[in-house]
Amino acid sequence: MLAISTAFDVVERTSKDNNKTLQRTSNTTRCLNLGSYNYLGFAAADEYCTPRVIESLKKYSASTCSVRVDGGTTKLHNELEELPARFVGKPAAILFGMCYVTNSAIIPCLIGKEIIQHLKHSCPPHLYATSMSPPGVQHVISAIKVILGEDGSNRGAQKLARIRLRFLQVRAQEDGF
Amino acid sequence: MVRLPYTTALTTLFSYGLLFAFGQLRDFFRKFVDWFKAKNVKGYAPICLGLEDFYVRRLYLRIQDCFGRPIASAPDSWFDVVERTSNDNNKTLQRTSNTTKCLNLGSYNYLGFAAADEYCTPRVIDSLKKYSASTCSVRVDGGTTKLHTELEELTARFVGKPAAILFGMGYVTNSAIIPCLIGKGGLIISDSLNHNSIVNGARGSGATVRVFQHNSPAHLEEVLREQIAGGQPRTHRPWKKIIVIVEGIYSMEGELCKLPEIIAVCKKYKAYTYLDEAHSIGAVGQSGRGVCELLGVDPADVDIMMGTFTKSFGSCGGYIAASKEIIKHLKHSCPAHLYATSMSPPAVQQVISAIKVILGEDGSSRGAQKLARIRENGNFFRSELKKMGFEVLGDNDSPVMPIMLYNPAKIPAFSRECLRQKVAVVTVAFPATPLLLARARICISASHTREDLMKALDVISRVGDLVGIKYFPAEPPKIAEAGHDKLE
Repeated sequence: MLAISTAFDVVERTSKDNNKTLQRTSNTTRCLNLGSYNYLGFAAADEYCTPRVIESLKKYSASTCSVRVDGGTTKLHNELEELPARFVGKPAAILFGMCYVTNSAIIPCLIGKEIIQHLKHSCPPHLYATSMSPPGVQHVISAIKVILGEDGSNRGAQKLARIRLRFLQVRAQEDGF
Repeated sequence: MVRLPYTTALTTLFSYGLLFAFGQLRDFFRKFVDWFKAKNVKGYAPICLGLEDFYVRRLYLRIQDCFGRPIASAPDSWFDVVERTSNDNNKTLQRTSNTTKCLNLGSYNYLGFAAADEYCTPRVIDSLKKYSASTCSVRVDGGTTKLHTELEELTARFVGKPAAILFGMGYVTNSAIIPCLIGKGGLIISDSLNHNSIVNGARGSGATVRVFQHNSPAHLEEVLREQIAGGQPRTHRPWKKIIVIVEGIYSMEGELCKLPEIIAVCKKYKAYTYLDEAHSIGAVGQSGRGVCELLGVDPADVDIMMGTFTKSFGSCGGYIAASKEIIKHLKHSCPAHLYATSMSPPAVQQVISAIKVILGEDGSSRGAQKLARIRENGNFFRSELKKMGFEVLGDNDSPVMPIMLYNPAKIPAFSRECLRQKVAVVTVAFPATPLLLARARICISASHTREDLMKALDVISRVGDLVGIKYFPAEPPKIAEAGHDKLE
């Protein structure tokens, strides 16, 4: 029997005007979380990732408060650019601190009437945006290492197997869906 | 605008032609050598097209030591410039641990807040202890502190609008806001020399974009009449809305916007106005409120006011100030508000403190003194440069003054020689300017002393003679003598 452990506290809200405005209360309800994109379970504390993130927080602080091309590149940023490239099987990679902008600012750099389009020389989020937070970078590094098995265990493989939803599929079939 | 002398145009074209020919020759041999490697996959267009990539490889790299020079201290009136070396003719540059103390004519340090300040710095340090270096969160999640709320109110009051919204990144203040204000079926009329962030925002919006001649209210009216009469492309239906986008000070020209005339035209044809005060806010106007104050325009007549905190206030990020309804709309729909890390709390405190100094709310008159000094410094420097025979763009009261260089060989010559004489200047060339209109852009600061400016004028005059960029005759001998006396 697989134990589904992902539950969280949902804050209760009230409304006095048929939901036109909502007020938060201090009450919470423990709920099973079927809504988050927490596919591999890294959103909560993790035995491998969390201690390393805390260490990087002490060493690098919460934010570089700087752009990549200024003072915003640490060893972690360089390491993480190498790791996703290896992970996905491409020669090189570039990081952005905001996933929305990874698409919205990159596509204009790749195509259009603009001239001299080089991501690291002309891409606005690389030149002007605060770089990715070092603890955030460390968390991704640690998560990828767990997935690759480089943390010295097979927890990554287990997570990947578990995400395939065997338990839910079996129960769904049993109930006739 | 720029009056390009014929001989200068001919020599500049010849120089670029020569560089182009040699570059193409080298590319030909490079292609011949690479042919044996056969890396290219047949049928696909290259991601970096050859001709677009050509400029960087064959022209820019040759003189890239003149751009992006690293510094090793706060960009105050004097700062430490890091020395760099190259073993491959500037293809790559290595930093050394040596620095040179130089007079800083390149930073947008208009009011001198880039260095430690007696009022701002202690408050920033306190906010760092209280709030930490970053919220590491978006505004709508955990990224709003009391400081953010306070700065939004203070910004709105400072520029004279009912409400304001902050962004952590100055560039995105334009490139992400414009798509939220207008879309398909709308018309954007943009000044021909607007900043790249405005251009990207306008393109990303999906609205139709038309351009009017730089700072020309007459041509703006002509474009408005033509576009309103013609309506939307093909269908000819009326435009859903029209926004005219202009800048307060054009950073490559040092020129002030002709705002009163442009506002009059926009009101006549019922077009919205969007004013980008990235450079002008804090730097011009009796109390630093920008071009509206300087040119006598009521802020209520400008629909959307944009500015950055990166220049006069010594911080980072930007703002939009507008009606409460527009700001509320942006807070619900703008990706820079919903997805980007919020502005760093100490950076917010820096702006709050700087604005209070400017407004005199720090209990002293330092703000008024700074504003008076930058005006005096700027106008003095500009008039002296013109007397010496330099071609200086821009208007009085503007702290930005481009000196025309034109010829590509003069870009590195001017930059390197000034650096050798301990004056740091920023040279600007294609693609930031048109190909033939290279220039050096001087930025004046309130922290420059009269002695600093005298030294700078002396160095620039000597280097100007050496390099040959005094395109106009100097002032008549009598006044020239007076100028000479001042220089001694």
